[in-house]
Amino acid sequence: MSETPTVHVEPVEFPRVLVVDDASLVRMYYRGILEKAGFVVDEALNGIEGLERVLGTTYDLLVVDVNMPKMDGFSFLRALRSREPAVRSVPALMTSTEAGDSDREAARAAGANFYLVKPLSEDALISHSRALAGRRA
Amino acid sequence: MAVVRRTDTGQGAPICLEGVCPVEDAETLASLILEDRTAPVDWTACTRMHTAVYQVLLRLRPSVLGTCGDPFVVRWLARLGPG
Amino acid sequence: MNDLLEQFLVETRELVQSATEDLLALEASPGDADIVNRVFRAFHTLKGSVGLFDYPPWLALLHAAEDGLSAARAGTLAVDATLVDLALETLDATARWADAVETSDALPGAAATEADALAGRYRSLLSRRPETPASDAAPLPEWASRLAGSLIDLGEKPMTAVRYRPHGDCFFAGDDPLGLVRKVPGLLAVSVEPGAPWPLDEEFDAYICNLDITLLTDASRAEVDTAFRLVRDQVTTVDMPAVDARTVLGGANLANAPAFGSVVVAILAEQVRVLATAGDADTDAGRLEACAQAAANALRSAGRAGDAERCALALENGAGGLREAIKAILASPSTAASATNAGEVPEVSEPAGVDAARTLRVDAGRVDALVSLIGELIVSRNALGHLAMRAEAGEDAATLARAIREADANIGRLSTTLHRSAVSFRLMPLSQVFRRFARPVREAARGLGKEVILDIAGEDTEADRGIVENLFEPLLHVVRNAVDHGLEDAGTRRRGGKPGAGRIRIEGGQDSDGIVVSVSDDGRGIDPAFIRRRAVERGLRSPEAAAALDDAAVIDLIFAPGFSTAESVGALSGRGVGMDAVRVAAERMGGRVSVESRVGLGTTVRLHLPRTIALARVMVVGAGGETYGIAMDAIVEVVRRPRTGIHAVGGGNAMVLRGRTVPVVRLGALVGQKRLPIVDLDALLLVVRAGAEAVALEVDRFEDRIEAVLRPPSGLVGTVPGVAGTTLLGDGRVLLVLDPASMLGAEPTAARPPREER
Repeated sequence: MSETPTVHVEPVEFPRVLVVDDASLVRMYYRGILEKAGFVVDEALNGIEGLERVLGTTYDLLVVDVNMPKMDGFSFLRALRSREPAVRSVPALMTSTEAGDSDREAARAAGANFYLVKPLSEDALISHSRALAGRRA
Repeated sequence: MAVVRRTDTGQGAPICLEGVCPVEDAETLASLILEDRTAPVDWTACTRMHTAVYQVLLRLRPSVLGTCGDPFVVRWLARLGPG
Repeated sequence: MNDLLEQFLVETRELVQSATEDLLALEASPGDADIVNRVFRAFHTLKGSVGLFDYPPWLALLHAAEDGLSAARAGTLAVDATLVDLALETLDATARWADAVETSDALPGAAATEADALAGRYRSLLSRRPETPASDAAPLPEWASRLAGSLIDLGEKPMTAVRYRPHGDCFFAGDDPLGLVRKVPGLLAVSVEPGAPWPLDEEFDAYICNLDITLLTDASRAEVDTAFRLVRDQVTTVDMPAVDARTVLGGANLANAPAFGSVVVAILAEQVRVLATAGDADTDAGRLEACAQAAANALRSAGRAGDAERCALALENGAGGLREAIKAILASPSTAASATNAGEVPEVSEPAGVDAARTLRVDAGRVDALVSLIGELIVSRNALGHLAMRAEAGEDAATLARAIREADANIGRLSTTLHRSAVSFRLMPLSQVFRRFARPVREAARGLGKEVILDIAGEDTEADRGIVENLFEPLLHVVRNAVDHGLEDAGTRRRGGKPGAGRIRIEGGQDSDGIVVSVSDDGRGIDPAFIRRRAVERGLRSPEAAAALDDAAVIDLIFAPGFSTAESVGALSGRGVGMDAVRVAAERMGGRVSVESRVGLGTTVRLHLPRTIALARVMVVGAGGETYGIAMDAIVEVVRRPRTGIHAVGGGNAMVLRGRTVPVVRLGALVGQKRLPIVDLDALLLVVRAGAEAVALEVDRFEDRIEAVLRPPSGLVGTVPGVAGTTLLGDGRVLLVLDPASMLGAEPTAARPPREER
């Protein structure tokens, strides 16, 4: 590859991710990492906003915080998973500061596809997001 | 030397790991793989692999033939890294 | 300082401030659950923010504080003076540490001790709970949870997780790192990954160890320590709590699993668990489909399209079927090991080095040009050093000033050119966004029982990444509108002599100074009479004004806020969001939107957008004690007039300029400053365009002219009318750049065609 005069990468369709988290700094951190990894990033501040966005846009992945005001991540996912087929199947990565089992269990029951304990490393966020969104690792 | 390449069969001939493969085999293995990226590595006769040798396989990702003869590798390391 | 850290400091101080106020209020009304909840949230957010950085003592303290406040919120801990004091002390420490981080990038030396002491006080408040060593309370490191996640179920026995990162030169020391791992009893999982990204093939040195070995064992910590005693400095050990019952996937260990990475394995294993977990019945179908999607995606990301397909097919057999399919994939022997036995060709792996990290395709010539420009820039910078020496040597000020001005002009020219050439790197084809429309169009059409043929053209047109990536949502809106409202159903179309299938065309192209993206349909078109009626009904125009508009202007009204052409808000075009959202999106990108429609023949909506994000020229002016920017584009001319030429006219002031009467408005008054006594005899005036008329803005000083990339207004600033954006001044202050036209209540000037980079 090194002898070709252009820096080459296959054109890829940019996967779109929705980050649902009430902490603006966390959203900024995720945005920075995910955009660098080739995602188009949208944000929502809580479950209610998250639902509004998900119903209007096709996402490849949701990154969802557990603890949020107004509508928490569990309620958001439950509401989403009971919607119509076009929107309910989006993979969701749940993030929480709780390492305990009860939250992990609740995440599974709500339909989260993976659960990571905050703070997340850049690697962990990228690798899990790529895999869940079906992009080359 | 436990890294052997039968060159008489030409391009694409397998590189064979045999017996105990010590650290010194790493470099030989790496250069053989880099010489011919189509050559697969036959690791069935390797009975014990040094970390450095494993690292070469992990890095260069040649196709491998058969099941590794080193039971530790088979049990824990048969998947060559992410991919 | 990076943006994230900067934002962190700002937010931390805000949170400290608001939490302090809340805590003080809490002293007055200790029972107020709302306040307790707010304080808890503040600490929760602080903890989350600190966790983004590497300040372990700080994080540990906030963790303890959050535990305390969580108990207070739950009512298991009294909100008394002790707790309030402790929380205030914690905030105090947090504020001090934020300062320390800002100035020195590190916590003060005593922070660890202080954090420990404060955290201990929280723990003793919560004396119901036994005091636990910090290592237990801390969440598992990510590598350890990932490893544990690769087991289908965790064991009943406690486990030990080990991370061993051998030194690069360990082979020369005679180490065989995996040889040590072989000696660890009770292994449950092993993962070997590169410690750092691999070097290129040619630079790969087989004798440098670059491995990150992690393992999980049910052996005790002592046994583990024994095995690694000689490399203790390279090993991290973590105790893992016992959880659940273990069944390691029917005895087949995952280390024996197919050739894909541990993240993929962990995700697959997690889907098995999610499917085994009971949830609300309403969510079952959604959860099942999401698991199938997640598993298939993970497999696809590992290049295993066949297995991904298997998961998709297994959906038909319900949760049980999907679970079995995933388990089977996980348990199948390594592809690498089995492939050649069966005479199959092993799957081709991605060429090393082309990883999916964000890469841009850049013409080599552009890179060369950039490099040579940077070379020139370095030369110019060196000239500055030389000038400083001349200044020190006492050279006279006038000569120096001239030399500095020359150097400044030179650097200015170079940086403008550099910007232009860097901008060209960011160009990206529209195909990136166009190709995402096939599915939404099909789904929208199907939902309405319409037939639609989608044409795409001009997808090679290039524009800045920031434009292309922000184009999807507004375009989707236009496209959905076209499917929803523009196209008739097949029956109506045939009766009107059109083919049954409607046609939607998305097209990109260049125009004189930017790009145009259009969405055309061959549907019913927009009836101006209807729009007129609707605009009047909605109170957007008076009946007279509506009648006076020509048809093109009438149709433009669909972009007015509060206008929606649908008789009822369709399910597809979203919840009450009209075409005004499209207009806003286009204007945010520095563009505008237009529409052309013929009754019975169809509608074309065009987004005119800049090709690059332009450098804006900004005049920096002073009003009262404040500094503002005014986009030079808006300024027609700059004049200095004796005050005697300004007269009170009606309720305001005006002057005569080239035979025309021009209103004069003080900038200070526009931005809500108190009126200061006027001292200068001359007035400094910026004549700006506000819609069709000219207005003279009086300012107190001209400070500078700069060229800058304007950040669109966001956050609170975004809600203030009249702000075109923000940029940074040379001294780091944020400069608000005003849009005089919208401040003066006219149409926003963003509707002007955007200029190319300047």
